Amino acid sequence: MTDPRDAPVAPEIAPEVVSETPPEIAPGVRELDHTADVGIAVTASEPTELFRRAALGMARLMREETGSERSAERVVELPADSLDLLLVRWLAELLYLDEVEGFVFEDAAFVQLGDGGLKATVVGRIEAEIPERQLKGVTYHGLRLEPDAGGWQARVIFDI
Amino acid sequence: MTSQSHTKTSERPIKMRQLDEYRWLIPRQGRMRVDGLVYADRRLMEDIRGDEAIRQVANVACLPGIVGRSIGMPDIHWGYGFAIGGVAAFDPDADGVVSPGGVGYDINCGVRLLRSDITAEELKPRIDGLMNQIMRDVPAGVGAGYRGSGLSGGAVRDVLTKGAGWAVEQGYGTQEDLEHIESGGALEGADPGRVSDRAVKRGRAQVGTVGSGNHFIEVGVVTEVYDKAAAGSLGLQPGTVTVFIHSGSRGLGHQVCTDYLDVMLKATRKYGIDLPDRQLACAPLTSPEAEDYFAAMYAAANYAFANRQMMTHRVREAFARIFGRPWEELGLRLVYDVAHNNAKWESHEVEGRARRLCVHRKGATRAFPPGHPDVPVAYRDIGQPVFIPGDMARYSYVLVGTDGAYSETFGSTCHGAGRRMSRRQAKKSVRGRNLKKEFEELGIEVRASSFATVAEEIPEAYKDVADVVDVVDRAGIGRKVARLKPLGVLKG
Repeated sequence: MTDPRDAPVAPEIAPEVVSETPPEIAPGVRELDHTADVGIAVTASEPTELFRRAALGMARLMREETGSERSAERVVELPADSLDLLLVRWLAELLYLDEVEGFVFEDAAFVQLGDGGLKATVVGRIEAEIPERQLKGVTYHGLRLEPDAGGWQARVIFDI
Repeated sequence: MTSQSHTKTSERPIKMRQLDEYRWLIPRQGRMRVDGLVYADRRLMEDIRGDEAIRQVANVACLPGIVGRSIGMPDIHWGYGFAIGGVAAFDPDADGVVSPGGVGYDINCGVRLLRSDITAEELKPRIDGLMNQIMRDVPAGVGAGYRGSGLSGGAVRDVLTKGAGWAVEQGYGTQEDLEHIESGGALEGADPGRVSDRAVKRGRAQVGTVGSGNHFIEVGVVTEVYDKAAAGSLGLQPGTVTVFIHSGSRGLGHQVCTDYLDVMLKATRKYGIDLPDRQLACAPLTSPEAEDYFAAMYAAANYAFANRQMMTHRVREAFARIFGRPWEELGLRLVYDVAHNNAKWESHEVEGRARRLCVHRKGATRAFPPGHPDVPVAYRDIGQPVFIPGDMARYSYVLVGTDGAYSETFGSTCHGAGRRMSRRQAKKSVRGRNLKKEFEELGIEVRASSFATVAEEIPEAYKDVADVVDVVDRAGIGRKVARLKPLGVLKG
């Protein structure tokens, strides 16, 4: 009986360590390397900007092209347990809006962000096409949101 | 063998010891309540050690009420919470828990296999047209009436209760199909009332759709038979055409997981459970939170069964159109449908006594042995069929469940090749390559709604599934029956 492994089908490429810093997919947002899923590392000067950038980063993970049309508007209101859990809830809400309404995030104006929860007006466009990459969920795995020397940083992993 | 090794990690290293050629023990350490056990040979372990999977097996071993061992399959890799390729069983009488993270967002994601009487030679001149037809008939993302229309909320709730049976009622398949699906294509105890309106909304336009990521429809051919009698029982003859359908519960299941992770985070605090990773949020099996989650998760599982059943119907119709004959005449019968993301109540013997346990399989396949009452009558002599798809280009395997799996791994085995490269690495490695031409040279027709998906899913991003399957076969937790080769692949 033949061993299928004897037949070369594709060039063997060792899983390399990607040593260089990944390019930004949105201002202050870099894609994280994860074996099965995808993640983002976000930096910003303050929490509202961090939330805005994380949302834009997620939108770019789903759709690579950078449309900037702002023809649709939604109001998002979410309760808070803690700021990091609120970040997951925020992104999960935007993921839901994309999947059910085709709402693609472009920008947000925050009325409130803190212990009392989140209230924001989000603007973007309604997209008829499904995203190139459909994300399944926003995970709590390895979730980080903390102040650093230059401001704030966060890390979120998505199930794909 | 007593070689000691440590996994690469930024935190405290995890101690691990090789027990024999295919088994690695993670002895109880730190907060672990039981040992961990990972199935791999030395070569696979090199890849496995490269990420966080071993730590995740150890983390799961810290959960309350876990019994036996926290298990990792040879295709294990870094997931979120549980590793992908993890199996763990929990006892309700020992404060055992259920964790949505141990099931995943894609509840009841699974694979089904269709067999046929069509030969590869008969298919060859038609494969191009067939793949185009499947691409037209089976939507990648959402069905007709994207966003809004689709099924009514009431119809979705019917799907949640009846599973694949709903699809058959609508004319998408036969009663015989239902007899060849794990749990008959519907889990009892599903309650649409515990599924949020948001989840139902996400599900309305997606029944019968593939989804993106690693989901696919693959037309293949049987190239090797290892067990003639078993292959015969499954209807697999060398040189005949097969179809794999790999998908899950789509946005509905993803939303159920999202909703209940929130519930479980609160439950974790309420019941004072100390977690090494928040994604492992859980609740005692006897709690109302667990009861609600089971009812919702089973409902999402039924959606996944209905989803694969509907795609089966569309694939059959595509074949009928291209071959100009009804699918029944082409012998396009359902061999079986296995799930690899769920938590189920099962009876297993632990420490010499039968116990009713909640078995989580996260990227692992149920693999019940010959004679088990949950194996369809037609396969009772050979054991439950198990399907292990490989990457897009190489090959896939058909296995059957074994007594070894039943006694060692709560009746579970591996589920696929397992990734070894991140998506970004994969995309980077294809720069400058003509993938379309590469697949053509391999004799594989590829269709995809997005080329980005194909770039992320290139063959070398995955382990060699032959290595994975050899480990489960030699360790006795699965038995090889046949090997298939892809001829046409549709990616979402």
